[in-house]
Amino acid sequence: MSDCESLKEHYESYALGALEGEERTELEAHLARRCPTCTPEVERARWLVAQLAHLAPQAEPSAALREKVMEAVSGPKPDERRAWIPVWAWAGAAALVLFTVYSLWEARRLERELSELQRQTQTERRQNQALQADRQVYRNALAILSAPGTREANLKASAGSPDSGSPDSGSLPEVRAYWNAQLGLVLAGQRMPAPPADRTFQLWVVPKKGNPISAGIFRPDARGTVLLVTVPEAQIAQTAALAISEEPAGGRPQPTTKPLWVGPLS
Amino acid sequence: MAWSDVLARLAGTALAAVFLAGLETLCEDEQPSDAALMEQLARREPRALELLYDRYARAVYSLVLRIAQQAASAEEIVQDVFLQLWRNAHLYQPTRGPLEPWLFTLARNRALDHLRLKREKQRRREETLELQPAAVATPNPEYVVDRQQRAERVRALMRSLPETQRRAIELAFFEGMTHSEIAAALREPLGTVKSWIRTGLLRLREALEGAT
Repeated sequence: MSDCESLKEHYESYALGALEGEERTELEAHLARRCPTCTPEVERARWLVAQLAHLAPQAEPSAALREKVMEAVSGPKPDERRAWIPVWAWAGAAALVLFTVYSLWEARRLERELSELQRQTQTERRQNQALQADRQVYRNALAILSAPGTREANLKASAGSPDSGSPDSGSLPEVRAYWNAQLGLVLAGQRMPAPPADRTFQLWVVPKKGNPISAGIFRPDARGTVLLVTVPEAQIAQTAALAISEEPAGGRPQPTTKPLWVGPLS
Repeated sequence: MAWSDVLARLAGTALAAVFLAGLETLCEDEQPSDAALMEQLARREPRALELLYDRYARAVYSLVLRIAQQAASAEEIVQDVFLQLWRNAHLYQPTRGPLEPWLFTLARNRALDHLRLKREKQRRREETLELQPAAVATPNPEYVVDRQQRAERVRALMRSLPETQRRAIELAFFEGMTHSEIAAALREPLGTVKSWIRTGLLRLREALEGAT
């Protein structure tokens, strides 16, 4: 330890970094052997030298430096972190797009279903109205048929009509009418031929005096069946007969052709 | 009611001890010690670096700027110093000495390295390039006055030295010059320069340790 005494004058210079040459080499070699006397003394000298830092004129680092240091250890600031879009955000966006596309597709599908349902409802409503109308026709027909004072007419093909003189009565049209002065008349026909597309059958009430009065126009259905219930526009007390003629579509105020079927009221 | 009144009333009671312990905890919470912050730093808690930065950045920057002379370089060096602190916090041992001189030594070495590179001098061997500066020990922590007082005393002592003696110490500390470089710069005998530096630093030690 005899070295220690001679080395002690170098502690401060060594700590300061001013010691050089052999003196420095010698002290370093000595410290490398972990001298228990010199090592703590050199450390004390380092503390002392560090205090010289207080001689530096006080200066202020920029605020940006603080941010740079903190960014380096903890990543970018929250503002910048927001600018960077994380993977989960992309996934979320993709999911949103998929959901939107699916929603639109689903909405279109529901819209189509709804319009189909509306169409069906309308059809059914029309069918229902038709049924109601039919029902009313039958009710009216029944009322006329069952009312007292109703008179019957059996309309026969008149001379010159296509059906007159046909031998097969089973295939001939059968046209009957029931007349009630208050309730109206019912015309029921079977196996009737269809008039041309631009023409129609027209039923006439033939009074005892004066011109025939229209009681309605009709076309037999596909099977040749007719059920017409109608109330003539004018009260006709003295009805003698009923007749059916073929007229242009929409009917005519007066017959323009010879009647195809005629029957006197009994 | 003042704190002193509260403590006076509680004096001698078991509650007083609890109360004081609580106050200490509160104070610790407000001002964590350097050692506590270094522990947090070793656990990679950025908040600890933030507190240490706020505590020391000004002094470190002042020192580095005085050596490097350029604000841009000084900021680079200071950033490097604090990042070294962050990366090597686990190497710091509170038992080997306080943080401040350790940090100053690290900063000074970095700044002097920069200066030497700038002057195209050969890099000196040794610890200046190592991540951790050499151990720094407080002579006797009980004698160490607080930082502000210490700074005042360092400045006052240096003002009291003859101009050339002060200049010799500054050339060594801020310029990184060796004895012979200083002797050449001041045109003074080498032995005189050595003596100035040694006596100046011994007087500084007395001023810091003995005057409390």
